[in-house]
Amino acid sequence: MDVSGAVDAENRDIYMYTFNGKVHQQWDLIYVKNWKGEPTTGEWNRDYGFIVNKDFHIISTLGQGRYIDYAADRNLIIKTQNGRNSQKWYFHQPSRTVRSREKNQSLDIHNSGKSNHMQYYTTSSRWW
Amino acid sequence: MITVSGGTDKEAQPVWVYNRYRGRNSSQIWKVVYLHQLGSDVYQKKGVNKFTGFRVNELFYFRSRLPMQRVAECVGASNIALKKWTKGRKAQEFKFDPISKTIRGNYWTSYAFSMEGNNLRCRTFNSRWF
Repeated sequence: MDVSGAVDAENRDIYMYTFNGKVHQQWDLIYVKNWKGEPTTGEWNRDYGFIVNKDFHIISTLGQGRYIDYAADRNLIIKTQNGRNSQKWYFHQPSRTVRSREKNQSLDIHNSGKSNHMQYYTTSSRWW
Repeated sequence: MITVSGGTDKEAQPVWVYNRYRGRNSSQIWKVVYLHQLGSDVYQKKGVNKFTGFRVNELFYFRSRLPMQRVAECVGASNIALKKWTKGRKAQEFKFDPISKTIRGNYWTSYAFSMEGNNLRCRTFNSRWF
């Protein structure tokens, strides 16, 4: 069982294809009676390793221990801890992204994932 | 030899006699099971089916390991597509049927997974193995 074009998008066709072992051919078979549903606020998402909707900081392990923040141009930077919401992030379960508490937009890689630069941007849940 | 015509495993396929095929051929191999020995040959009603690994008649989801963890859903009774999980949506629930040995949907219950070339479809089940 394969996802057409390996694209993780709503309504994408599922079809049969020669085995290649890639993630778009991998499925978990989850019995309904064992499935408690998706984790909600305050619950642990084991697959992603985050607590849903709970604020956290992302702190550099370089000497000064600066926090991830962002500049006026949306680009991510490290800054000294200042207690502002611009340094708070949370895991958003419906989109499976990390979002800024202040902007409610998601961590994003510039240029559709083809750049090294990171920014916050409107949530698209697009994975490249 | 007592032989299944054409070696085709489908309902009402004729059984006839034919020359013995070279090598082992499932269409000519039979087992005699006395009634008092039935046990595992009776269709399973619960538990894990040892040949397929599925739990019999228990509903399950096919959840993709792609990042959004969407699940397979029967769309319009025939196509199977990737969709966000929705609690209680029967079109996303499937079960293994030990009698037809197919994966059947829980919304269109007379439909089962079927391969048509590379396409995967929900179709009226016929238990035909190609």
